[in-house]
Amino acid sequence: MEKRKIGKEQYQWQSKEIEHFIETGILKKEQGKEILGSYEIEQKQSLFLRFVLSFGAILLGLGVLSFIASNWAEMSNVWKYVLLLSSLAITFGVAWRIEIEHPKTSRALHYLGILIYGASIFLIGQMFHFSGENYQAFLIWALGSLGVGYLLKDKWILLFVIGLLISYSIDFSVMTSTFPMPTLLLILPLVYINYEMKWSRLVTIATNLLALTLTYISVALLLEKTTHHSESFYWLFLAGFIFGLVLLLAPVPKHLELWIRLQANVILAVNGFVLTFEDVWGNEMAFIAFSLGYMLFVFILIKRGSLINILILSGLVLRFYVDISFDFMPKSLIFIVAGLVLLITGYFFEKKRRKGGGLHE
Amino acid sequence: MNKPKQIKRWIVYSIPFLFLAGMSVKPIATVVSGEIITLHTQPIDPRDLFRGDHVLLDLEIETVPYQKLSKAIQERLPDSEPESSKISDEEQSWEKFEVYSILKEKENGIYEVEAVKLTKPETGIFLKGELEPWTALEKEKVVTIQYDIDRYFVPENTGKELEKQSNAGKALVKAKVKDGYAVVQEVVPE
Repeated sequence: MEKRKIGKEQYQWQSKEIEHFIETGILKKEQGKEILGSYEIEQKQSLFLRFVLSFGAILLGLGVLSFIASNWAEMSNVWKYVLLLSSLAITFGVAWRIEIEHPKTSRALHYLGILIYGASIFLIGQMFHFSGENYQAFLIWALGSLGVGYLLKDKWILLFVIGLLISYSIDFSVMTSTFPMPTLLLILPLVYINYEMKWSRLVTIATNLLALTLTYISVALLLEKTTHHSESFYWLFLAGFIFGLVLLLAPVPKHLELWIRLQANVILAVNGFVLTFEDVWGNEMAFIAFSLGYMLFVFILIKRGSLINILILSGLVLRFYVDISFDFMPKSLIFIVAGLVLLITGYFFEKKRRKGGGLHE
Repeated sequence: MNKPKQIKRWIVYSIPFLFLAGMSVKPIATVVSGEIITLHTQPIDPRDLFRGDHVLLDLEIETVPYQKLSKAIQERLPDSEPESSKISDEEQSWEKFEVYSILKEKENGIYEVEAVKLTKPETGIFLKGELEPWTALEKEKVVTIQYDIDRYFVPENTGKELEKQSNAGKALVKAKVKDGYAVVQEVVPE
């Protein structure tokens, strides 16, 4: 049987514990020997040596980069191309090769590989004087990195990819007034990878943000093409509000519930808050109906034990209070009453929390 | 590592290379086997955070007189502004569309637009571009066509200098062209 590698301190601690178990009769001497025999001390370099090697590697890396940067303009396109592709190949090659023996270094090299890939995209664009905007580069960067993220099931790479896709989607739709279809098509693979990762919290929240971005973009483009959008602005925030509602009510895995519901409440609060302004609706009846309906909805959520909605309710109360009172009340009185509202909110928040209310519900 | 896992690795690591290669095939083919042309331009120096110092190229061939457009193109141009902003057949005529500018060398060695067509020419030197129909209403009897060569990357902090040198006159763009696609080789003051 292969021995399990552990640190020197852990081995010594394990040895002392087994000795104690033998003395107290919990384990027999042969059993203790067998247990201890299944471990071996991992041979680690000294801390000093590791520091020297790491520092040396960093200096070497900086030296190489500095040499390349100062000679880049003089290099021919052929050499630039060879340098970029070989750097990428070496980085990924070494990362793959050392993955089992040095997992952390391998992971760092994968991150470096993704950065080199991104730099290569822009540098090749520069070499051939590509026209156009950066959004295409962000999409290519995201597509090339997604595979690595899937392979390693790495949440940081996936977060980076989602960030690139959000940037691409916004830039693309602003520049071309067209919906970013590639992003929509990539949502399903992202969800699948997240499922294989057993639903990472951060990746789920980021994917929801991406979906929300696409929702805003599609509504904005529809408004641009169909109506006088200055009169129909509310559709944008209504879509965001409905998105938040779906997120609040959708069934989710238990370990994600806190974060997804929190995200849902934040989205509802932001969009709902904007929709409580008459200018957004352009119609007095609509804004009053929504504002009353939203406050009622918040009350219901508070009744169900949601703490965060106490904060949201106090925000709404303050917002309407300031709106109504600003013109005719003395400013000092406004602040006093506002302060009292916040203190009362804090009291109810603490009371609810002690009763066992959930932050997210 | 078992074979299917190894194959998966190779595929994943190849994807970035495929994208980089895909980006480069056309430009490399153009640089290797394209024809060299010279164009007039007025360079402007902005800054790109990701791609570095560059000059924008305001090419002379971007502004094309009406009479050089083919009849089919002239018929697609709008006569007046649309009345509403709702989607309609009118608005269709306001969207950019693909055209091909056939270039001819003048006596001074500079290339200019001889004719603009909707269909790709079989032979000769030409550039693929996008005609902006609304520009037909902005200026008298000319339209604007945007080509893929609109910028030239320069060594750091030299863009302003190139712009200054060209302000007195124009600059010359040397580009390689193949099959309607161009790659800028050099931008120098005239």
